[in-house]
Amino acid sequence: MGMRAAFHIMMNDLRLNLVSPFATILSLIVPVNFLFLFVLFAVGGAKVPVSVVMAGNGYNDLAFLHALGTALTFHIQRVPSAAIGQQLIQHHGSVATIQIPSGFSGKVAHQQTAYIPLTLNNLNADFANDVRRAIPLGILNFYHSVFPSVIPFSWKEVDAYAHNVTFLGYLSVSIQTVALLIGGLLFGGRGSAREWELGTMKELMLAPIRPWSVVLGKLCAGMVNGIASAALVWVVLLLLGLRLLAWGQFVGVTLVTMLVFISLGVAIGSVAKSQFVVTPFAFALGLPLFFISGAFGPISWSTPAVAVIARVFPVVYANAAFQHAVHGYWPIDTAPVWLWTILLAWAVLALCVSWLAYRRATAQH
Amino acid sequence: MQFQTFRAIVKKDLATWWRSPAILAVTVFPALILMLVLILQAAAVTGSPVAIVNQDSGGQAAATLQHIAQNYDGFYRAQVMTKTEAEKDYQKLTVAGVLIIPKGFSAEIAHNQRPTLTWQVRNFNNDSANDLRRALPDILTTFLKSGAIGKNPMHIQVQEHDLHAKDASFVGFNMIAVVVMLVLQAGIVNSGLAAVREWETGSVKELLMSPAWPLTMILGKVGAGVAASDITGGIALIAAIAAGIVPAPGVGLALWAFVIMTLTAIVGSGIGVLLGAALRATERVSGLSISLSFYLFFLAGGITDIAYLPRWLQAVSSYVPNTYALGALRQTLLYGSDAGVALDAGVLAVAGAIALVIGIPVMRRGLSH
Repeated sequence: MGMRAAFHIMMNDLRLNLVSPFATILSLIVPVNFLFLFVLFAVGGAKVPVSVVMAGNGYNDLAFLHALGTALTFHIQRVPSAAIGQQLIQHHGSVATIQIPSGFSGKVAHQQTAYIPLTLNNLNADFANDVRRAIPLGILNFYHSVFPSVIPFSWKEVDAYAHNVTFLGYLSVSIQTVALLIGGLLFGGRGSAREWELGTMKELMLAPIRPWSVVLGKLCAGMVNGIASAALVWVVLLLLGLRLLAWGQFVGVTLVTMLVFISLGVAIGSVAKSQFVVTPFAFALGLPLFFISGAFGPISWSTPAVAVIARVFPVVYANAAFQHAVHGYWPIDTAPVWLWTILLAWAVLALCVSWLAYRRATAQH
Repeated sequence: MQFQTFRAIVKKDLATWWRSPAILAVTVFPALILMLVLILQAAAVTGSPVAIVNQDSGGQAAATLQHIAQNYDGFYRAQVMTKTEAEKDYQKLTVAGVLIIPKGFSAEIAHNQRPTLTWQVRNFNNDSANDLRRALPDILTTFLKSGAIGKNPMHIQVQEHDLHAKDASFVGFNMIAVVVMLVLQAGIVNSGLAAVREWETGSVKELLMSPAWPLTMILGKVGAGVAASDITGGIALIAAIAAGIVPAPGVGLALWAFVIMTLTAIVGSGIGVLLGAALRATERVSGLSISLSFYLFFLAGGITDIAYLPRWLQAVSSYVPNTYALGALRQTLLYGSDAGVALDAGVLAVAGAIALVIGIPVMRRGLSH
């Protein structure tokens, strides 16, 4: 009886999606929207646009230009004069102009000091330091390739992993987590708040069904919507070139994370009784958790305060498990067994919270 | 008569805004939380934590290199430890990189034997790994310049000329972006919901029967949205100035900042009236306005600058009003200059006029139906 009621409540909720297609489409595409927005962010932060003015065309001039190009930082465009470089800075075409002056090749070859004028649009300390640090890398690369014996030592880099994951590749996986968070809260919260707004909650309370079947029906409807939304995000990730190394883990984390946030969404919807409150709440919770939960790197590299807060929530664990499923590495200092225990404990806790919130809301009513 | 009506509508909509916790939350929550995250994350933005292992404990050159690496400002923290400790921290992800100065480093340099430094890098992604890859050459360049191993063998020197007298802080830079988003969002949400409310509560009928002109009523809603935006944006900005995140501007520049904020608020309110009249449902307006604000935030560069965006995106951002608000507010509040601000204000004024020219007729048509 209870299961049948839950099934019909779920079907009714899904049918209501068709009645208000605008809100449904908005909720379904919010996670994809997030992905798109952060792709814009990742695309923007990849390289520093600089213009280079070369007065000469000697061997060392070209070698230095090449060295700058291998400094892991610059997107270089050659311009004929410093004035044009300045214009580009003013029109947001670049953030710096590097001049390789006349006589550079000869001076460097004869061990005389060669000055490299750098005009820098120091927008903020972080951006400016990227340029300031990349030029020494360029200079060292230059000497390393042209005058290797001049540097009295050498250095070797030992990378932890054979292949480099791009910033976009790493960030996209993190976005999958936040998409599930925001989508889950929206689907769970809107579904339960809608009953209060329409006044149909009274009918559900008076119906000869068990209260848990209402919560279960809402959760199932949220899960169906959430899976549709997650599938949409995953298609975009595939288009971005990401491939799964561990399907089972990916699907498992997706379902557990979704269950956590849809349950919390049902709880928020029951307490707030208004879809209008659910939306800002989902964003207000989703964005900061996204930023602090290892979206850009392990939380152990972050500030202690941020790491402590992040460890309380399930997002950081879900994120680490997703990164492992896609990129094959484990970017958190929590063992897999503990990670799964925490995620499952969160799922149970969230279910209890949603049940209690519903009971409390109906009891007060 | 009409001015009094305008004032009454502004007063009533502002009072509704102030007394509604839900609307206040929609207006300020997302941006306030973004601010909080920025502040919390600020310290870690400078770089990652690293370990330094100096196996040449008695060598002078090694000691100098260790000192330079330890005090390098591109790391979040740099701790000297033994190789075993460093390996353990590296495996536990406590540190992102390990710099190993080998045994006999100083002596080998003295005897022209070219010792090899080892730089272990946890390359989870290019962004954090490249920060580490840039750091070592910077440290080595400082080491060579220090004279610890004799004359600097590299003869290339950089003559840096900065366009701004002082680097703005990373948090301050982003705080301005968040304030612009806050102002725009407050305008969209408040004017949008003020318009929707009339349909939802049925008071649109009373408005239609009143002797007030429709234009006055719509301008009243826009006025309330602008006032709410200026209040929320102003409070956020004053808090940022009081916390030392944004430097305190002079009177002239503060006035410019106020003008820019108000023009941004007019753009937001115009968009809000348009959305409210077209969608006529609180839930739709709140959902769409938050998404729209985030889109405009990122399309204007977001927490980066439009110079870093690809060309096609720069072309798009030139049509986004936030771009001009952001440029002008950073110029006045961070760089202490009003160069180009008048032009930005002009573009914002045009954008505001366009938003109103489109929004007002849609609302008028809605009222007449």
